[in-house]
Amino acid sequence: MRPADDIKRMIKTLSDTTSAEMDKKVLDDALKALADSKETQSADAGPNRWRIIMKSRIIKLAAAAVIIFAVTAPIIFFNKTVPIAYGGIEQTVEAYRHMRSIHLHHESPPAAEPQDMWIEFDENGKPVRLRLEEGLGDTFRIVTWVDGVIKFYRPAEKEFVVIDQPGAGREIEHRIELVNPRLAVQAIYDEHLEGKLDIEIEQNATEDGLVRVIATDTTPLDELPKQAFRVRYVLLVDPSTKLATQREEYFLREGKYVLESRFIYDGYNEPIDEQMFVFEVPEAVQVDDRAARAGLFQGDLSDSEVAAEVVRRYIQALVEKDYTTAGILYNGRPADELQQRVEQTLEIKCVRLIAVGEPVPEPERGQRAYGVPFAFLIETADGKKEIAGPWGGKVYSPEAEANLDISKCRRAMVRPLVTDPDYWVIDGGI
Amino acid sequence: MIEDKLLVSRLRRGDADAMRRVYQKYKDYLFTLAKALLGGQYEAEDVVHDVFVSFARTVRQVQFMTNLKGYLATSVGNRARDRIRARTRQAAVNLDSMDPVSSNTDCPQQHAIGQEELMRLRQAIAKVPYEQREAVVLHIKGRMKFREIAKLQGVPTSTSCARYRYGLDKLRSLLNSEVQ
Repeated sequence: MRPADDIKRMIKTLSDTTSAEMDKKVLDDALKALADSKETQSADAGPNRWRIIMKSRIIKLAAAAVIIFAVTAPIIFFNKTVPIAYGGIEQTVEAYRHMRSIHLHHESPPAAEPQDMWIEFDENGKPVRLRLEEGLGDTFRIVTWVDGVIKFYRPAEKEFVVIDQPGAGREIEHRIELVNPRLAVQAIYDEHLEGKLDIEIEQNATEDGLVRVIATDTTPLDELPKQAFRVRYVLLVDPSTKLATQREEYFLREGKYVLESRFIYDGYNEPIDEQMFVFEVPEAVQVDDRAARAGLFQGDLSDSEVAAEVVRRYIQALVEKDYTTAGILYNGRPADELQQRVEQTLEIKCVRLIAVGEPVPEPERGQRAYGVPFAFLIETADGKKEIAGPWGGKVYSPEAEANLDISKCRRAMVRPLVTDPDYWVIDGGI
Repeated sequence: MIEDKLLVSRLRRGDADAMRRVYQKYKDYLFTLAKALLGGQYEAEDVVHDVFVSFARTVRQVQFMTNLKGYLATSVGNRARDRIRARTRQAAVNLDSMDPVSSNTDCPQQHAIGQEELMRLRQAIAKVPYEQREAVVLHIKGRMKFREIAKLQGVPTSTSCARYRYGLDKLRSLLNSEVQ
């Protein structure tokens, strides 16, 4: 009698190899399909790639001290049972104390350009190493941050930049703070304890048995700060690890919660391959002082004045096709990348500035950060004129311009450089 | 795993080299699965082709995948199942369409076991009812969990476990009867 183990062993040894002819056929067709999907994707790409990591209203900028919470927050449970009980978001806060590494994927529906980060933390939760990949096609770039040295590689341009300056890493740390799930969850919990967020928990909410945590802003709509949206955060939590596998952020617009951005987390505490932090050295290497050159010097202007001025000058630079100046104001972004984005990807011409609104403090984005509403006239590839700034865009007409409420337009995020607070930069939103 | 995540990340950006790497990495594994499920070489080739082309077309849209190998194996399972359904006019698998076992294998272990024996194994696998065959092949060769197979088959996990057991029994019975 042939035992089952024998049969299993035989099945395991089954091994077929594809033919060279098949390999060629499959790869040719798959690469073509990939290229086709790339074109479709590029056409859908929105204008605001840089806002994608910066939108949370409640993320704290300072790395929060770890607190073991004794108080159990009031929680609404739905009538569902789970094999592993999830006791509340404080368990997730606690679980994040042990996070030493993570891979996070971020996407923001209007922007369509994904972002991936692999981050290592020390035992205190402080980030120590990073690999960042973002952009699509020609704008794809890789950034590593290891031992305080930032390396930036843009394959399409064979551009390789090393930034090895004291304090340069603080910009990276600032960015990581804005996407760090540990701080995001801590902030949700803090605001919940302060009564600013209602939390609902849906046990066993997905096929995989994940828990859904819904945190909704409790501020009455008529008491919301000017131009602010009511926000809702939705976490998916693995009840076995208590860690979040996904975080989504929604804004209430016209009575409906609309998805603003989504983070997907995985790879918690998995060792990150050393090769992830190493580049194959390209032909040309240059040392760059981009971080020191970025931004507009504040001088005698107040914080809100300089914030508005940065946006005004940025739009004016786009109108004049002065991409070098625009790039310096946009967090030191390379001029050719901006130019490519505006002229080839978006295929628009910036015609003139319409208005820059009153800056609104955005303390969640930094102690001195502001959101600056903007509107400017653009011309699309087919010659149509539109107003950029209003949510969803607006076809241009003199009446439309005359009736424009600048306070309801989108806001460019502006802040002083962490490394040099006398210089202000745009950090997203436009 | 880390490499797979990196590859998926690059694929989402349209990186052709990442596509080549994914193909080289998993082509034989998927082809073996497809051939075990379907029997015929040409159908297996078609399935692998379709899986990779579809993957390339949709990699930007699909939910973030944490297990690339499992995702691709499931895709093979789904497509093989579609093909089996399309065979409704055939009462049984057409063994005549199967290719000689030695046609494209270079596994030393496989040679050691003996090609005659493997031929009998393939023929026996082809005679096992499809749902059971799927559970056996995907679990043993595909290293998929019963929970994943159950999801693919649209049945409770206990059913996929039972199908696996029945499939294995059937295989054992077929192989033993041939030996006797």
